[in-house]
Amino acid sequence: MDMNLDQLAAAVIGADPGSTDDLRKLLETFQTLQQAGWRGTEKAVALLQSLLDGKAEDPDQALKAVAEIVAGLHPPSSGNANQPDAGTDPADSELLDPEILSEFVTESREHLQAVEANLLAVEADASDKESLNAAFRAFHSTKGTASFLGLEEIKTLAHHAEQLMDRARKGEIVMAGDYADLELQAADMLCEMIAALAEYQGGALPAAPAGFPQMLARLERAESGTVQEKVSAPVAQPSAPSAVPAASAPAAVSPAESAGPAAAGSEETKKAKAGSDLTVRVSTQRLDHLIDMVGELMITNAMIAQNPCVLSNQDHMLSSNVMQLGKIARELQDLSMSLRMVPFRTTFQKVERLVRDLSHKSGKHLRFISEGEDTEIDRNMVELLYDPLVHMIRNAVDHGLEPAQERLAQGKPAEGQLRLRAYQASGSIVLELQDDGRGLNREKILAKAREKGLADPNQEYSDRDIYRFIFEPGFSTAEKVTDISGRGVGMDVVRRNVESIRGRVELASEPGRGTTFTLKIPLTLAIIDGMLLSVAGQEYILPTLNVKHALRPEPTSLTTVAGRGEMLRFRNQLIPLFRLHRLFDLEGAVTDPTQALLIIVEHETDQCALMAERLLGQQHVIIKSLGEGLGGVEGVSGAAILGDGGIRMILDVEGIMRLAWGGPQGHSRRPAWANRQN
Amino acid sequence: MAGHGSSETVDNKVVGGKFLTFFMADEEYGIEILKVHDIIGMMQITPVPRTPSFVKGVINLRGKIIPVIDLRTKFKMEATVRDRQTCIVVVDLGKLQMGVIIDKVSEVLDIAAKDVEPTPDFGITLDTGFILGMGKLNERVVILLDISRVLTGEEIEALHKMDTNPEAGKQAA
Repeated sequence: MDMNLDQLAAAVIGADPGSTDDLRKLLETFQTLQQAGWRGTEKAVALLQSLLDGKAEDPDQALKAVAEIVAGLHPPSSGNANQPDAGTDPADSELLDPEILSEFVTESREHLQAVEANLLAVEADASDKESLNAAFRAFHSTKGTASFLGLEEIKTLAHHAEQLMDRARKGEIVMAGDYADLELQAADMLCEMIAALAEYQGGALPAAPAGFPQMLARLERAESGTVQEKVSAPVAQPSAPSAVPAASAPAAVSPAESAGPAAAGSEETKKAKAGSDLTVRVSTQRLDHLIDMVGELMITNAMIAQNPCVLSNQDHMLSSNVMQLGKIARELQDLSMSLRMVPFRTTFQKVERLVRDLSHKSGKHLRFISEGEDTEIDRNMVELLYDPLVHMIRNAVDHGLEPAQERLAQGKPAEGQLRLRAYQASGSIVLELQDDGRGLNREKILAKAREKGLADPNQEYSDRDIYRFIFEPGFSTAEKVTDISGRGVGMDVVRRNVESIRGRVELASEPGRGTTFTLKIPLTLAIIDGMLLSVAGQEYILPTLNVKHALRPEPTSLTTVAGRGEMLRFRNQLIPLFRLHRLFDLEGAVTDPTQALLIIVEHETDQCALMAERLLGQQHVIIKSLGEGLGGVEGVSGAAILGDGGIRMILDVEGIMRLAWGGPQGHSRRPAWANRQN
Repeated sequence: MAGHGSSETVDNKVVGGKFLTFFMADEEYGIEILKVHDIIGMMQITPVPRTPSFVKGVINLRGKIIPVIDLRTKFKMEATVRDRQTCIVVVDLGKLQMGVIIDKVSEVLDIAAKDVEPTPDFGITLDTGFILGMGKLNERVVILLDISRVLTGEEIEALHKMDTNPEAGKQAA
């Protein structure tokens, strides 16, 4: 039997009930299966026979029944003979092989993710047969494997979801609006059930989630086409699937649905499908280990290349081999670093789905535009960025974008617009979320900040300072907490997550025109561009990102406050001066600033000058943590292994400032003379 | 007994099994062999600023950065000149690895549970929480260390707190 269940199902679905050739072929297949001892084939044989004989009342219905039988087929080896037809009872669950199960889990998750992407593509462009078929196949494969494993509930749900997709394939319905909602929810529920399976440790199978029967009922209703025809009128094309003229479909979609991310979106997804072919799943732990080892290879390679014996050797062959080795090692390093990079696509897809759901929930019509899905970013960071994105989008939908009437009154299009853009700019990744809503209310934020004691009642604040308040934990100007936002958690999460990956959040807003969040994030967590400097015989790496200037001061540019606080006057700004050797308790340092090197560093809007001794160079280094045991050390963000195999600490400018200003409350205790940039 | 390296555990306290023994001054100590990941010679240790004095710094163990503590400093013993016998025992403490500087590695000993005596009480002058027991072998006494408790809970917590503190400070930024 070289035809697998998938192919068989495809053949059944693709069969033309009017063609005796098709039917005969199917009948033969089923008869072979029956002889091979497969259970559940008898009925199919009977049905096909009646079709061939022309006895069937409704050929389409009969063929559908055959398709259902395919899903319930069992090879002779699996299950026990006492239960023909009924599928494997959950009591058989001890038969589940954990390995097969985990494979099923990963596989179906992938399938369901594809369902989501494809459904969104179909919804945007109903003529996109390819996506429609892909979504259908995804449900179908999930169903097939679930049935093989005896996961009855997943099978049933996937089956019904598939049936509904099939109706769309046949052109009986347009997969948009409520239908698409239903399918997406079904996919979500399947995901949930599969997630529960992932934790399956043996014993009884996890129970179906709440709402399972309702979901089934809704799907069944939708299948029979008796309800939910309000969003899209059925296209009267009850004949064979191939006969549906592609052009007729989009016309039936309501304008609000079709105007979505249409052209740009679906094009991107198509490209995505072409690109996402053969992949291998590797645990990140292994990947990190590989990167570590490649790093060590680089170091050892450098050591060999610099070895006096090698340098002075006369053997031409050896020299060229060492050089070749270096080249290979470098290429290997580039390659190993690129392994961690993934495109934003999956995140954007999730976001698109979120926008769609929020749009329905809030009743605001939204137009979501995404650009730059192919921009690549470190895999570890993608996950950390999703949460901030969710909060930013919720915020934009709930607070930023006005309801349609209000928008129309202001002469804006009724449909709110959300634009998400990712691009690379000067060594960082920029994520930009732009809405064309009402913009931030400067006065409201300031009033709230004063009410909460965050802002000084008498002080004037710049826009930038005011916008900063919304990132405070618990800060919300929303009068009421809605389902979507208002608890004041979101923006705090945004800032925290972004800062945890050494990124920055910027905010620009124009009343009545909208708000733009800009997240600037380093290309990868793993590498920074650093300046190597020495203090009291110790070497440290200072992230170049933070460095503004390096100078040797004139005696006249230095002043002190109260005999202690040192300051540097630089371009008419007073900048606090901190001595690294004092902060780090190092002995034997140069103590005269005019003999030392001052490096002006900045973090956010704060600046200070750090006193070190010499600048030794600049280089890209791979950041490593100091090891679990040390956790985080104040003033140090990590360490790097340099070409000589030695370790250098990477300085954390923010931490150093905090340290210098004293204690965790440092910033509030910052002396009044400490400059601000603006 | 040979070949089965696992220790017999009672009340979370290991009372017998294979131990790697080493010297600190003239006292002999033992660490459960299963917790020992590596023994390496002294190598360049990069100091980490603002850490407790017993944290000597970090080393590069084949591409992995691990912290190293000096057992002499930790035990408040006099510092000595490091020689060729000084080495770093890398131990596995659950998910973290840590290097421990010791004076001299001795041997791997099989110590039966019956040869382990409970730690005598020294009163408040000496905290014995990190000692599993005293192993008796003929004339020798080996102090069996619970290496995961050599750094006390508070110390580990303090080390971890350094990690969480920045969060507290960031709020005001």
